[in-house]
Amino acid sequence: MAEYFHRQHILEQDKYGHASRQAHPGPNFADTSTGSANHVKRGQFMRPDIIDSRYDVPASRREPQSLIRASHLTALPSQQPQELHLTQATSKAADPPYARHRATLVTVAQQYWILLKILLAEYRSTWFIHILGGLLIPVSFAFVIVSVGGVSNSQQAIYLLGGNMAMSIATGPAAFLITKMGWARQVKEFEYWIALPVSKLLLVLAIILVALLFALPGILGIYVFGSLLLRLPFSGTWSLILLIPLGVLPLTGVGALLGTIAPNGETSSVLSNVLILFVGVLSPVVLPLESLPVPLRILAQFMPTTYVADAFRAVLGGQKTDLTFDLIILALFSAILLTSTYFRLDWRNT
Amino acid sequence: MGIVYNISQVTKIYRGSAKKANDCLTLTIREGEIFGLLGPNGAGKSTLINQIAGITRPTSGNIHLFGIDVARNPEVIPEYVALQPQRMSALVDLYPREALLYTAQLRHVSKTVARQQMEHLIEELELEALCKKLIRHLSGGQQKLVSLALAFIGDRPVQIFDEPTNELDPVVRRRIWEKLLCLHRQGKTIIIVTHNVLEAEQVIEHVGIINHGQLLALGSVGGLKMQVDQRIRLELLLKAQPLGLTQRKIDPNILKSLGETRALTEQHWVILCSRAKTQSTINQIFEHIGMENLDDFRIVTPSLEDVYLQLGGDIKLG
Repeated sequence: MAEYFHRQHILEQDKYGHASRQAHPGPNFADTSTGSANHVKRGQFMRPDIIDSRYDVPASRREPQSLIRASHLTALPSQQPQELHLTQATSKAADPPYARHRATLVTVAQQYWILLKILLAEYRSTWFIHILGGLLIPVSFAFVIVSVGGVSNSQQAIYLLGGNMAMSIATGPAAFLITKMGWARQVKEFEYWIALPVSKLLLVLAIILVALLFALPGILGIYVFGSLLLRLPFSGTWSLILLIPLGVLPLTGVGALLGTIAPNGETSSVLSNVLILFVGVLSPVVLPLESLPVPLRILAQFMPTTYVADAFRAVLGGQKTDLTFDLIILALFSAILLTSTYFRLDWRNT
Repeated sequence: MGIVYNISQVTKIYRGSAKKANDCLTLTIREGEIFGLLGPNGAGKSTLINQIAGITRPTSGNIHLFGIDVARNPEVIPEYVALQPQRMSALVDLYPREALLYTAQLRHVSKTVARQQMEHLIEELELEALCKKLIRHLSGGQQKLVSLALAFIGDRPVQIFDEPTNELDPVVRRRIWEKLLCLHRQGKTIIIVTHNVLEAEQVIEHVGIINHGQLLALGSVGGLKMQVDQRIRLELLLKAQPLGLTQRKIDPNILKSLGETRALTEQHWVILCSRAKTQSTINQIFEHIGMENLDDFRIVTPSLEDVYLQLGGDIKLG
């Protein structure tokens, strides 16, 4: 109750008849008459030039009423335009205090590095999800299929392992991105980035690189674990490392795009479950194409996961021709999906 | 002083909504001033703030920052303006030190200077105790404090705060108002959205009162106070009458004869009187009631809160 101190002061003036302001007491925290804790200690707190404006500003420092009305006061909407026109005519825009920052390759690289550090820090609280999604879910599927005797030769083993690696990307970084984007939208996370001099493109590129990095433990873990489980030789390791980015990018695009479509966090969680289900049992990623009904077989032709799984199988089995076709398709998917994500991403609200 | 923000005829209609969140708002914010935006919940304050901070695009109208049309070039805004995040949604997996350092660096501050600013702010706002926890694990008030520090760091010439002091305890709140005054002395332009009118009154120079998306009043604090009921409010808290004592009982009629009188409780009375009559009314109170029978006696002149209630709330002016 700031007024309290004014009042105290006035009271003292009336009682003792002197104009000194020094006698007023400090904040009375026991003033509970209003139940408010909004105390502000006047003497410490106020700017000296406005401290007395209500009571004892010398007349010379007081703005005449008419002046106040003319220059500052625009009372009701109906009066605004004329009044403001008046103020605008008398004052002009201030000059920018400094020139705009000019981006160079070095400053952009520095910003990118900082963005990566911030995004990578998420691993501190989400590492468990990455391990669970990227490693445990696909391995569990592989385990079930092996247990029911679904793998009888090395070709089937390669099929399963390739599919499992693709699944790892879908259930790991892609599912994670759907949820992340959906929740980011709900909690308005991007407002923080918009209010900083950071370009949207740089942020999207950082998100993608982080998703790529987060995909690695799952893919490599499955490669090692699956090869041991299915008794496959560790073949095509180097080509595999080159293939990983092209496998991850389109699925990152799918994840981010679905995330930007989700209106809120809850919807995005459901969408990510749908993705896991689709990749797990409704497309030729872990299950063979022949085992699916015709509509799903057709749909599979338009799903990037199908080609990611195919490409992994081609590398594991050493079939170069199939691989080229898959790579072209994957590059196309990456370009389309990531560009759409970039444009779909709610940057400034409309 | 030159104009920092020139907001002209800004209207905002959110997609899928028929209601105007902002309806043809026109105002200017000058260099180095502390501008307060007041209004009830859902009045359109945050919508306006989000538009001038470049987070939301206006449906129509112009916003100029330092003479640059930022409704068309919103990417200019972050170069000069720092916005206090309303809540910590990004950066929650960072420690406060990292969040401050990275934010400063993203605002193009060199690493050395960023570190200095960070340590200075941590000392000034007494954040040291929070720095050992991830932002995610801090309490609401602590996160608010970090979000304020994130606005301060990088030393932007224009700083915007959305409800800077709610959720904060009284001691921290005072620290924040002091910091805002300190920034004001450095010549920064400060825009504050707040409900905390009583505290803000100590700091704010110019005020816009907004409701239903429209600007209801705009002017200097002093100027707006001239617009509201100018009567002086005398608040009396009578001493409780001890039971069984045959003390002189105060006749309510005496109080009622002093002017427009309201009894809030049996003990708590409010008398409204014109400025000219204040002295004589006070004399009468002393004469008929006496200080010895009063627990509290306050003389209240129109405050910014009255301005807010009379011009911004549902209470009509005049």
